Amino acid sequence: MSEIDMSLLPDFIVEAEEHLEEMELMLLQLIEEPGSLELLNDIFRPIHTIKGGAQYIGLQKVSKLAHSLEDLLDLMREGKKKSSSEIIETLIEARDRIALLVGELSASSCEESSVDDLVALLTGMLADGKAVEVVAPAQDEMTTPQCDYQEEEDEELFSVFLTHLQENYTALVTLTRELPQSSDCITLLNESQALLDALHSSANYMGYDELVGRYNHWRSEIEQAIEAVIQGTSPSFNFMLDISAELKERFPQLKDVDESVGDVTDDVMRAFAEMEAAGESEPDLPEGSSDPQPTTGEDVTEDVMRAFAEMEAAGGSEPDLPESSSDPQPPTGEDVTDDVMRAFAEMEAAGGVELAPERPASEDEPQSTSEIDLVLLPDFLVEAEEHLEEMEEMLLQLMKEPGNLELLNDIFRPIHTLKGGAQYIGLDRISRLSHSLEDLLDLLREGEKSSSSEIIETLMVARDRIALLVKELTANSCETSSVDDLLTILAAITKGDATGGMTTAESVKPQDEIAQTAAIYQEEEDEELFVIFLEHLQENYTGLILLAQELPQSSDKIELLNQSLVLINALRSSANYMEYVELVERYQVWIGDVEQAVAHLTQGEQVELDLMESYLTELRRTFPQLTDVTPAPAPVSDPSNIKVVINEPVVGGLEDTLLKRDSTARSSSAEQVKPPSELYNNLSSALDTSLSQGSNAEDYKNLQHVFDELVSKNAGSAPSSEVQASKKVTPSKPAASAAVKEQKPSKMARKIKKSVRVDADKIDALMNQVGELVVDRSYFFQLFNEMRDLQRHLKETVGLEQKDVKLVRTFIYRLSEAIAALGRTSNELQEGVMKMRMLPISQIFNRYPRLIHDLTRNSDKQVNLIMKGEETELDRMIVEELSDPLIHLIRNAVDHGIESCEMRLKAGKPEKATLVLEAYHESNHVVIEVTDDGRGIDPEKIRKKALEKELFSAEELENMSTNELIPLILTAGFSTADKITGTSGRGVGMDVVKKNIEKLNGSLEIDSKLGIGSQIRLKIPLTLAIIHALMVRVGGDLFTIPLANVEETVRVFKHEISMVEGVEIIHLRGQTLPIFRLSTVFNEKCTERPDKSFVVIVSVGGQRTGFVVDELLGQEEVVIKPLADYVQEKSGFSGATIIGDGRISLILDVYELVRMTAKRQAKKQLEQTDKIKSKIKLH
Amino acid sequence: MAETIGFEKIEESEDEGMLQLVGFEIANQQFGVDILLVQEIIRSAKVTAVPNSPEFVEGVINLRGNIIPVIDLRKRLHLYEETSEARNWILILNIGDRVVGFIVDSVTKVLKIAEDSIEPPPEIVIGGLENQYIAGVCDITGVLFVILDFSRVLFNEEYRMLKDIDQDVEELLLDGDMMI
Repeated sequence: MSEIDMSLLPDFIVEAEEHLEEMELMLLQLIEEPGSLELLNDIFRPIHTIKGGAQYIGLQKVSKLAHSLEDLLDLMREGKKKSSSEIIETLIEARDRIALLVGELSASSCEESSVDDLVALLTGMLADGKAVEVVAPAQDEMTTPQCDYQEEEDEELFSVFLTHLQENYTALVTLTRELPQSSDCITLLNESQALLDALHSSANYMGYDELVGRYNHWRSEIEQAIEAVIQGTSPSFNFMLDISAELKERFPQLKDVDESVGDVTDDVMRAFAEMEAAGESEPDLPEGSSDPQPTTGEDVTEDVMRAFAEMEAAGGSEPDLPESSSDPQPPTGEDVTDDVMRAFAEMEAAGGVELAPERPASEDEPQSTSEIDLVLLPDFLVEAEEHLEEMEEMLLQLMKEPGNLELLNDIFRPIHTLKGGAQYIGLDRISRLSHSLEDLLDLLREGEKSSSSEIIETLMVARDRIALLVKELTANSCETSSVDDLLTILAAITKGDATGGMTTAESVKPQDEIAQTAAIYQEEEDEELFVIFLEHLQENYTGLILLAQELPQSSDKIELLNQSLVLINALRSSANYMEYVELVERYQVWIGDVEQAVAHLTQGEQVELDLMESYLTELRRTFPQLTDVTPAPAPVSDPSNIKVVINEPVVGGLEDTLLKRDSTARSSSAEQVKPPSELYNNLSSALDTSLSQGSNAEDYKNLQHVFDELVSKNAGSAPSSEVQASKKVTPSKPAASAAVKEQKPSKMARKIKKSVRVDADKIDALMNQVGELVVDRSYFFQLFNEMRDLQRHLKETVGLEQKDVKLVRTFIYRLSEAIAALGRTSNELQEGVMKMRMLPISQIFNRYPRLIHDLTRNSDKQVNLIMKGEETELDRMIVEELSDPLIHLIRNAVDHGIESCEMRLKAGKPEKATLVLEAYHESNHVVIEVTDDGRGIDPEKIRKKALEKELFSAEELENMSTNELIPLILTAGFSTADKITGTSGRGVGMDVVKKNIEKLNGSLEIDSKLGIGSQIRLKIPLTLAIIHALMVRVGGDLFTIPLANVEETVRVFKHEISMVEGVEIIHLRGQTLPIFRLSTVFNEKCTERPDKSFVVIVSVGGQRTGFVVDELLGQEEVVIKPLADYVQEKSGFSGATIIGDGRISLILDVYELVRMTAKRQAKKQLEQTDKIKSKIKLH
Repeated sequence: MAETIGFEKIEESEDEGMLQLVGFEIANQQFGVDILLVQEIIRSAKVTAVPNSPEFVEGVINLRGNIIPVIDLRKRLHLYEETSEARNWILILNIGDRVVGFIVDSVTKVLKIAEDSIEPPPEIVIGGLENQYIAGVCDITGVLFVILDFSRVLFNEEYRMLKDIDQDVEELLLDGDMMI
């Protein structure tokens, strides 16, 4: 339904994102190799999956766009359209739109962006190369306005609206008709106006502004008419007709009350219902589609194709909407309707049940049906079981209250969900069966069929079958049980009413019968075995027929009969191992009869030779799957003739067989049932004579004559046609099972990767707990140390005996063992949980090929991106945080680093630049390198810029080495680019990178050689949750400084500290750096020693600063815990941690702290100069 | 580590229209808070001060592994009346999924009052209390209980802070005592 299934939405979004990413990479690849068919197929797959998912969940726009994309890709695959760069750009754009929609969905759970422009663009592209395609443009146009009113998100609301519309529309039409004859025009007009008012309000709440406008217009027209009537003039009431006509046009779903139009619409609707039953029941019969339709020839085929193309265009985007199945046919005028009608009449005549006419744009269907999505299967199964249980209860209830409409609706729902799910995952049988069930239920709901106990019984059986299939899926992930028998029954029941007994009064019955006998032999649990059995049966059956044909003319009848005996015996044994007791008995009787005949013949007596035929007929009747063969001398190119031909030898009860054949043909294969009528007549007249005169040689001559004629007519195509025909007519069973067989190895090959999708918050919570455990461990360790002190105390102060002390020592030893064990376990646990949070860096790396593509598209640069180590795993949070900095780095590399092709050639470099993105582990860090072979960073330029920006004096810059100069590009607002481009040059790139990396407790290094290239190296810790830190004491509190920021710790004596402009500074190996006393910054009581202090040197943004602390306590691994935002804000702390004894230690945000203190300092300086100035003034 | 007073959750169906309040005292003024907001009440927890945080933030405490901010309600409500009582009660409240501790002078008792006996906050200021933080008042045997709107107590300030970040920076910068 178009109501979005919220429960599945998150899954879909996650999956869609994956697919989109995959697609993007492949599309970019496609630019490189535009002709790669494999690539096109690869691209097709994710789109198809997205479409399927979107349809299932009810995302109209995504599915619509994906559908258009599929169409275009299809043309490209077939080679009808070349993948020009223009098309690929469009594909990329469409992909982006889908990505946008998916983004919107994850943000607000609804599709906001429009897709119509792209769909139009894609359709335009389709039309370009689609001169051959049959879809009439006019029809396309017709479907578009309709789509506007079907794209409604809330399907339920829409159906309510439609019902309301239908009601009012009917009334309106009736009023319009009465109007000319009525004497009281005003009353009628007033009534019409009331109706329009109602319509107006309903259109209003649906938000159809345009429609509301139309209603308003009509109302005013009616008002004018009323006035005219009051004034005595008789106005034309034609506008009323216009109203209904326009309404009808806008909403083709409207049932017309006008008889003449109504019939046609009804017919079309019925035809579609029929077609749906036919098309859906055997969608995996691609062979059937290639069958020629001999009588009406190409016309019909085309008609059907067009009808299907139309149906797909109209209803294709929501094939799982049972409600919409009857309305995709817009009234496109008599011609089309007639065509469609004719096509369907044809199809219906052919039996239609298993006809699968060609679907031009849906070749992907078989593909999708055969591949089961194993990832989603378990979810589906669990859900299906629930639904089935629910259904069973309701069906039982339905037996008690057969007329309960609400109950029917309730039953409909789980089936629909099941169908949707099955389709999505690719469970062909379940979806087909549930589809048929839906059809039936639909009839029940509409009251066209009353829920008799028989029907309910069938529903129960169908439910059980689905349950069985679900069980099979649980056990071995494939659908083994057949559903064809039930489909036939359901189709028969459905059809029984849908066609109103018009066509099928006779044909349904035998079909039913056959369906039931077939059912007996199809309910076989082991499909594979049954297929083998069938193949064997077919082989022997063919042999038997050939033998039977030879029999009358043969001189050595005994030999032939003996050969038949061998075949029948083989059949019996195969029936035996299948445990078809009844069949075995029949074979036994047959064998007896044949043996008897042989005995008679040996004794020289005459025997009835039709015994073979009657048995064969019986066999044929029991197994409608059997294919008949043509006799050797009379090959036919036209499959439609086959059955007539094999009937030739079957003289006894021929007519009966023919009838039977007719009906079996419907259910067994895609044979064409309209044989050339002339020949047919000849044949039947010949048969008639043969019947009336009994079986003798003359009849056979007669028949032979007929067939000679046939042969001569079909001469030429004869030799290969037999094989072809038999291939084509191969019933669905073996074909389907072949597919099953093919599918199996691939399923085995695809390793089932067990995975659980867990809310990231849950993992974070677990991580938190593990952090606690780590803290607890250190608490234990602390206790252990205290215990040792206690031991010493006991020994030295209390003076315990050596013996007693030993007891304590033993205990302490065991305690240390226990602590070590706890440590190991907690370490492993911590590692395990951390791994759970890890994601491969390919998650972000995969975004960059697109970035490069976009960056170079409008430039004269060519870049070859090489990615290495994409599998390197990083903490989820870090991966997300890294994305932006990497984008900046890549932009910089492409924009500033890499030269244009021309320049590169001049410099003797390959035309295409290389950009390497590499990630690897280095101890407990991950290193990411961005390396380009561009022009490198020019130190002179930096010097010049630095001088411009007055960062340093000219002499200072002169003395700086290249290694010192390069980090200057990390300064905010620093850019060496001569001009600002669309992507970079504003000087906010590198400092952002630097800041972001430092936020992650990482570091950044730049290495660049002029003219050769640059490398930027990011070093990031594996995780954010646990950091290595330096514990310090300031006043009475403990503080934690991330080790990543700490360069070194030094001890500074008082005389080494000097004051410069109110700031304390120290000299460290020739460098001057400011120091801040944390006790002052934090307002703690100062407990520093007066003579010397400990200084922790931290490095932020290439600038080094010293923090004076009271005491250094050592390194520790700490778990970061967040602080409430209003506490953390501007405090200079990034979080807190709990240390072993339960106390809290605040973690310094070094960057923020330095920034804060520097600002204060600047402010203070300003104040001081102010003071000085004012002092000067005072003086 | 910390002394805890637990409250049994009251079945709501039974007391329709009734409200249970935890009564507490600050600066001799009686206050009440909906019992459903109260997660627990602890005493004698070690509060770690957070330098440079807003003045009313007393610090953070370790509540079974979670770091909870503690707000001095007296400072937050600007009630500076001197009392000699030891102020070591911390009401741990759960306000819109945020767990926050509030320091109060003392916790008095649990009261059950009818919802309709609560009156809207008066225009006049009660005991120097700004009425924007008051959800209502009720008179219980002659004692006026002020029912605080804790979401406002907490979020109003935040809102203000967000709005005035720049100004705050300026203030901080101008704060000469904090200077090095």
